[in-house]
Amino acid sequence: MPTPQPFVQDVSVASPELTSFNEAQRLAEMEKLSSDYTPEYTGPLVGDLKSSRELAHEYVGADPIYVTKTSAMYPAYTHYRKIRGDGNCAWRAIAFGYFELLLRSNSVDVVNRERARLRSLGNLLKAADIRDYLYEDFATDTDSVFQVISTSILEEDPNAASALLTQFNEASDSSVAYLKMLTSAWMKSRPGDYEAYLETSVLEYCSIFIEPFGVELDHVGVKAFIDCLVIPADFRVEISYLDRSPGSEMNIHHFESGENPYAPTLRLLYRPGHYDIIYKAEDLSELVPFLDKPQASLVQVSFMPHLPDQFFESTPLNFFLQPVNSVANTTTTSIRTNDDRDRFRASLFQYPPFQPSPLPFQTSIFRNSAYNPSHYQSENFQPELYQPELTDVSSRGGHGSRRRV
Amino acid sequence: MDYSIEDVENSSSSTSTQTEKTNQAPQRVEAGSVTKRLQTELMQLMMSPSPGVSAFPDDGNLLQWTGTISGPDGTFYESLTFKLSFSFPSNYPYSPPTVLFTTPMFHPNVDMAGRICLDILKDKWSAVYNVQSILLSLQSLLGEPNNKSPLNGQAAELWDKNPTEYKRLLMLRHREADE
Repeated sequence: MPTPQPFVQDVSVASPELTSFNEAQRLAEMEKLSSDYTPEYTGPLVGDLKSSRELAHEYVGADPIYVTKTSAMYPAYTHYRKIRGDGNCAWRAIAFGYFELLLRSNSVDVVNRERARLRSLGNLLKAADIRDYLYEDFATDTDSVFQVISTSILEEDPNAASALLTQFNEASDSSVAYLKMLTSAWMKSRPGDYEAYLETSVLEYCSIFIEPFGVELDHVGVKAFIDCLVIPADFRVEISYLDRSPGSEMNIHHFESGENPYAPTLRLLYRPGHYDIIYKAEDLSELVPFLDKPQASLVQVSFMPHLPDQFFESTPLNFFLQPVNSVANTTTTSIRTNDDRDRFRASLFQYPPFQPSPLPFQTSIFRNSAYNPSHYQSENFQPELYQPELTDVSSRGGHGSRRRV
Repeated sequence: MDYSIEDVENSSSSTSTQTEKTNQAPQRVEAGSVTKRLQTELMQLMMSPSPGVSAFPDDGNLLQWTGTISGPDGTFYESLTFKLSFSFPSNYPYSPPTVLFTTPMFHPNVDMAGRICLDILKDKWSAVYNVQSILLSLQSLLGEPNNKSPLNGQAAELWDKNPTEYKRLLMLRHREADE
């Protein structure tokens, strides 16, 4: 094309200063716009455990491949944990999953072993000539997560899972920064393991993809991070790829040392550009009771634990509002409301007024029915009315007494 | 996290205080991590200064520093000094500071407003960099510009082609700082 070229040259020759100045201005403005741009992030850095069925809900109406794959997730994967998508999701997901597996190991020895290993990995940073004041705050914050885990295990803390989540969310940025430094030092210490997968040198790769904060981790980086943090702890990693590749189920990529087939597994869900953590039911067998523990928000008081569940009513608020003296003096009948379902008794020893059995003659059917107040299944169960059978003891006594006690 | 309260009776006093410490530490660090980091950096700069570069916080504001670079010998910038302003974001060192030349500058990678194009101040920034490493990188940038992606095209063109004109335009722009 001979015609356009002279035209372009003409312009640049005519006013090179003006063009370069305008160009510089334009570039600078664009650069400012892009450097000032921060996407809106919502939610915690690492979220709470959720049912994986919520994922399927997200994809209702999406591409059919997604619908098939997400609906096939349940019940194989029962739960998932959302990680904030701020570019550090792979770091946070793998780091949190690693700490969670440490907590689930329920072994202070394992935690201490890993804590010591990470401290000694810190020597890689010294060897790389990084001044210690540049990373010691990050190292301390990372160490605090180990501290919380070992304290929880030692004290058999029932809220250990949420304590870890809180602590990790507080120390997450520091931990990510520290683990980035460690991973970078790890890769540089064994470039032969990674160079083959890279188009640039390991040094250049680390400076662009590993060290900067908030940069998405690609596959090589994920492998290096897992090699550095998770595999030496004798854990396995499974990454399930939720993408539009054909098939009804997600493709799974395994990372493992291969030495221990029973190694606990950290499972990640990868959707293009984002990582979350997913769980199988067996992964959570010990953690779920902690997580599902109901919050003690509703005041439910019953001093009669032998009553069936449906009789458990929350104590009326006005009961607590009464002056202490009147509570002490209240008789059973005055506490009782007209509502017949209200079975509240202030004390196990405050019996309802004595009611002799209205029927002088009791058949064995009546005696064994729930209408008999001396029967333990009766709504008005009154043990003091219990009278052992006088007849036919020899043949039925064993059964009868066992039923009534 | 009420477990520390619940378990006070069962645990020895030393472990319960440990728990409290670890629970509080990150929050405290979170609030003051920027200032703590900058104080440490300042101390390092004072204790082990690098030749030809210096930096110090502006009056009463640790998030705003002024830095000075002497032009390296054997370059156009020899025997000239340049001042820079550093503004640190609240999430420093996760994000880089904004660094500008406040002394008028003529350089391929610096624009007329003093803005700098340097990878470690942009996408290659990481938490292992610091004020000192920025100053040293800028000092070496003065002698080795990246002429492939210039902010100042004229400077990039003259750098190799016409050193005399380059020096003339540089000295025309340059104002030695008063202080």
